[in-house]
Amino acid sequence: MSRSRKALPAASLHIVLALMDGELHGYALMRRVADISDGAVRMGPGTMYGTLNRLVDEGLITETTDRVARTEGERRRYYQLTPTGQSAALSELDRLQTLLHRIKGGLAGGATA
Amino acid sequence: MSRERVVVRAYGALTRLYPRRFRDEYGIDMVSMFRDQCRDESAWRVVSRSAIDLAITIPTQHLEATMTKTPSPLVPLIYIAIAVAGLLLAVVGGSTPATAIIGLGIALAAGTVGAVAWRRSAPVRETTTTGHWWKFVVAGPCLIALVIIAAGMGVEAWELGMVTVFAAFASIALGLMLGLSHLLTHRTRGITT
Repeated sequence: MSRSRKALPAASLHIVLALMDGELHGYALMRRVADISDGAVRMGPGTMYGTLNRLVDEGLITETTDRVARTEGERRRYYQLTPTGQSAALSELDRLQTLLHRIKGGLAGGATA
Repeated sequence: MSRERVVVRAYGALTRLYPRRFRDEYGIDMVSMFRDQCRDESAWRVVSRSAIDLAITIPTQHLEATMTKTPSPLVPLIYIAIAVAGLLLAVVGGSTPATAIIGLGIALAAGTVGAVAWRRSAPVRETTTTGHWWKFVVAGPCLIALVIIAAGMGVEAWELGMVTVFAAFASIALGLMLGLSHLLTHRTRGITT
């Protein structure tokens, strides 16, 4: 697992983490992000699709359009993590855990001193 | 028309402010997502959140579109044509050392800029642009003919004449390069298809 990768911006991080459970379409992804952040992060369509566009360009996610038909005949675009995206998501989780561990260690050290 | 439909239509109209490429790619999905949000949440909350979202992401997308824009493939060709014309000026018109030095200077400067621009731009693929190569080739001799006719009529404007000859060389060089890229593109397409 590489740690040299630059940390993902907040919106990208939330989307990548939300896609770890499997493919989702835009609105489901927005709801999943709201769920995992306990409602703290609610993305608008512009932020969502702008970030998805960047992540597709960077090769972290891929589009799986029209996998599921919609009742109104409207298309739904689904997105899923690529192997690079999976690796980036795990790397980000690792980074966040290390950060948390260090902060907790620092706080504990400060409390005992 | 219900209030929700009016709000969705207004949002759809506002998405036209995004760059065309982004709008074509995601516009329908964004309106669909906005509609879903209005269905599941308070319309007022969705509208206020989306207004901020639009205000931030429209300029961001325009900035990204500008920064990722591929430079025109014509730019390096124009500089290289000027460099070739400079070289021709130095060789053909270099009867005096000053003309030769100016020609070589132009060739060196334009060649450097052209090489940098070539590295930064995509290869020429638009046959609609390169298809006009012959016009540049024809324009060159026409300009030289004009200079000869003017000189024959006794017009004494050497500076203007030199600039025109220089422009003629540049036009011929540009035309030949466009023609070459047109030919190469055509051949590549013929092989791949």
